[in-house]
Amino acid sequence: MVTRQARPIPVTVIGGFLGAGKTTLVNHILGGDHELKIAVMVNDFGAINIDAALITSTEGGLYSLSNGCVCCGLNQGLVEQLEELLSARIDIDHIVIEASGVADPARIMDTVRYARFAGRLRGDAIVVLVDAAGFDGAIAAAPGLAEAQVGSADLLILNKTDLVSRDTLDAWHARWAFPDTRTIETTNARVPFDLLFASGFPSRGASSPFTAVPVHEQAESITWRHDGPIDAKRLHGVLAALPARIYRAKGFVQASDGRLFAVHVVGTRVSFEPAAHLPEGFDGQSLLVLVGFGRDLPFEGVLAQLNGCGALARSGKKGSA
Amino acid sequence: MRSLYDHRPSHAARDAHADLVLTNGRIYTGDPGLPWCQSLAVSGGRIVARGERADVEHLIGPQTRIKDLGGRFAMPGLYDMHTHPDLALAPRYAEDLDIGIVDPTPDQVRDAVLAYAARHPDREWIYGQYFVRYTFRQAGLVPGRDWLDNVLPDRPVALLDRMWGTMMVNSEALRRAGIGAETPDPPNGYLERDPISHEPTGLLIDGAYALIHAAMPPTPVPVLRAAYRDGVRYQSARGVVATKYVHVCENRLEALQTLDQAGELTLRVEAAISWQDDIFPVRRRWELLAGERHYYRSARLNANAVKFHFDGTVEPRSSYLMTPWDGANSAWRGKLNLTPEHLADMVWDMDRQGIRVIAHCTGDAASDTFLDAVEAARRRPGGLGVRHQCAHSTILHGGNLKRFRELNVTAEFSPVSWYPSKFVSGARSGYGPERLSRAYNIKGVLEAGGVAVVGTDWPVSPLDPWIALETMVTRANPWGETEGRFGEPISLTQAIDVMTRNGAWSMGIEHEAGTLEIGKSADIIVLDRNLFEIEPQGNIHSTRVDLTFMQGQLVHDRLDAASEAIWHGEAPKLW
Repeated sequence: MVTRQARPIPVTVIGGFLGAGKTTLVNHILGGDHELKIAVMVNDFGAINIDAALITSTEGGLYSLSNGCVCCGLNQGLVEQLEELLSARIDIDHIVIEASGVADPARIMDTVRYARFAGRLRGDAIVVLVDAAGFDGAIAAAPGLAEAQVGSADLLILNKTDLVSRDTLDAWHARWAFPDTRTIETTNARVPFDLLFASGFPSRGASSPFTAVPVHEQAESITWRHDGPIDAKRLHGVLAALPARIYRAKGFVQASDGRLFAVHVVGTRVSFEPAAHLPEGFDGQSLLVLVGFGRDLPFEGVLAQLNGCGALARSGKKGSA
Repeated sequence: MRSLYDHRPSHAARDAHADLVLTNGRIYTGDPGLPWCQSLAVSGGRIVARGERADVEHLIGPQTRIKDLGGRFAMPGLYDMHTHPDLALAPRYAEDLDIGIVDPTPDQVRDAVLAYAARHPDREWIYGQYFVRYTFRQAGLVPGRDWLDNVLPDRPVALLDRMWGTMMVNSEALRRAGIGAETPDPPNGYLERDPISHEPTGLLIDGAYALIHAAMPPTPVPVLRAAYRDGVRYQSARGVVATKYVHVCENRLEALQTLDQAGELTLRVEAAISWQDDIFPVRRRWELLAGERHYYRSARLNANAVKFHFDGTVEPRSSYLMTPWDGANSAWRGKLNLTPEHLADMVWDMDRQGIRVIAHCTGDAASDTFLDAVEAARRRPGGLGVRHQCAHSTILHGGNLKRFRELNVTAEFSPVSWYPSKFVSGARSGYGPERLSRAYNIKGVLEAGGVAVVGTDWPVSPLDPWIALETMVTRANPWGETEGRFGEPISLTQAIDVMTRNGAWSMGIEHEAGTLEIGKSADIIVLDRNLFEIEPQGNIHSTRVDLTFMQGQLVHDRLDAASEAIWHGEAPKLW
């Protein structure tokens, strides 16, 4: 009997209309240097450009690549294929599912979140690519669909920005960016891996509780720690309304009722998963790593709000950072 | 008008003359003893003479109606042994809320709900479609119970989203369905919940709809009646004289009975009570099976059957197969929905009550397990030897072909993918080339001495039986949309047998219907073409039925709007 991973495997669904750049992004992930073992389920295997020299083995339609990734075509029921992947591979860090260009990626995420996968899979994010030059064409080709795809995005990748003017991009944002939308502008679907896949926790020995660490030329992260119990409901409210320039957060939270949650925020998706115990090296402390994108990120205000989530302890002592 | 209680006591005097005489026809009887004749005489709904005009002349009296067929082709009426007009048509009559906008804003959704609620003050539930999630997001709103409670708090509301993946309900709907923080998620869906409190947010995904549907009132009888009426009218106009409506509940039986009482049930119906609640709940299942079903019985209607889904279908790869779906790549073989032990006891229990079991079996291991259950029932005491029915029979194991004859089980096939089409190109890749090569093996069952029948399975395939008849003979696309042939064809006479006498056998009425023989029911159709004189491909499916006689009664007349038929004109367009 294979022992399952203790923690659920995060799943990213990549959506977007035909020609938006999904396959290009998948190719980046398959060939990328992210040090993660990623299983990629692609909609059209023929369109994927895997360098034959990188394929180390092929077994049961699953191609293993030299960077630790595996790839397979999405060619049967999603439920069955996910079940198969979970039973075949125990060493996967992340699953990426490429949706068809004419599908609503939210429907795929719905399946990932079925009760049968509870504790085994975790919906990390729906990443939707938009062709900055072709969005109007997509709306004309499939009225309602392109809008629904954008509407289901936790992270939106406005791609092929080199093909249009700044004015066009601004007009697009004005028309389609929802109040809570996290948008990343890219060319050639070059999305920073730090935003696609959460990196690991910083080491315990960080000098200050508020350390801003540049993790990418444009991305910055900050760590928030809290020693006392947390009002989880209030924290959920803060995380659901983070400034749009903060793209990710992850960590552990010790709630005031004694429950322990693993917390993940990806764009607009906030999940609180009950956790059995803290990982090695954390003792009764709540901790969140927030990742933002751009300059002069409003971390200070967010940290103040997070500190405001400390529940009053029985003794009446206020929790402090 | 014909009444349900029309009956000639067995010792009552017989009329010396026929009620109806058909002459000058080219009548194919389906009876190998006399395959062709020109004239038929009908009395009391039964054929009393056949042959040349001279053979029926002595039966013509002053009250006899004489119909000159003008040389047209006639044959026994068709049998559609598995179909669902209610599922296809009831939504059209349900008058559920239809917002009617591609991407309504939350304000438009609210206005539509309130207007509908005001228009239908007596409707318990407000149920309908569509909302879209992105317009909520655009407006900075979150769809769910909180939003809907602000719109309408006191009546239960359930709205589907356009992708049919999400249902939004208000708190009253959740309350009536008994859904709360403790409610477990169904395996094929989930309740969206507040992550901290686990309270449902009012968004239900996929399989979680069923929790709401179970709490809603069943589809009302008038809606079902309107749906069945359209279906019956279509079937009569297309020459169907007997059918099985597979999946019924007490409301559906009631709807069929009201049609029957109105003289509008113009074909024989065997209704199969659903064994599971997976399509709609059956609230009186056990009462119906214990004997309540007999209250619906008439010459045209019976409910002496049950239907259930033993396995799944090709697209989600849930058909239950002998070998893994994906060859060496995985062990997944599909799955059964009931344990084999459940099935074995159920088949035997139904058999001893004279109830036919119609088992949905698409995979070869599902039909194999079903045949095993019938075989076991045949050995147990008390069984009545009912002819059970293997529905769809999509993929059959070669070793099971002969068991249909040995066990008196009907092999039912639906034409949805037994000829090349776009749909089949998809299904083909699903089952894989080896299984596809033996899919819909009608010929195999017939050659092994078994009885094969056809069920259109509408809305899965069209309700038109002539597409099935043509493609059994050609196994080619009737409209020339896709090249090639698929599977093994059978001859025209075999195909007619499959859709006439075999149907009668599968209903247990082959001694009184299915062929045009003396003493049998006068279920006769007159066509605009002679099936034996045309090139089958491209021509049989477009056959038009000029007249349909059911138990000697003219029920459909395509050409003469002034005749006494129940239905006139062309078949209605239903899809």
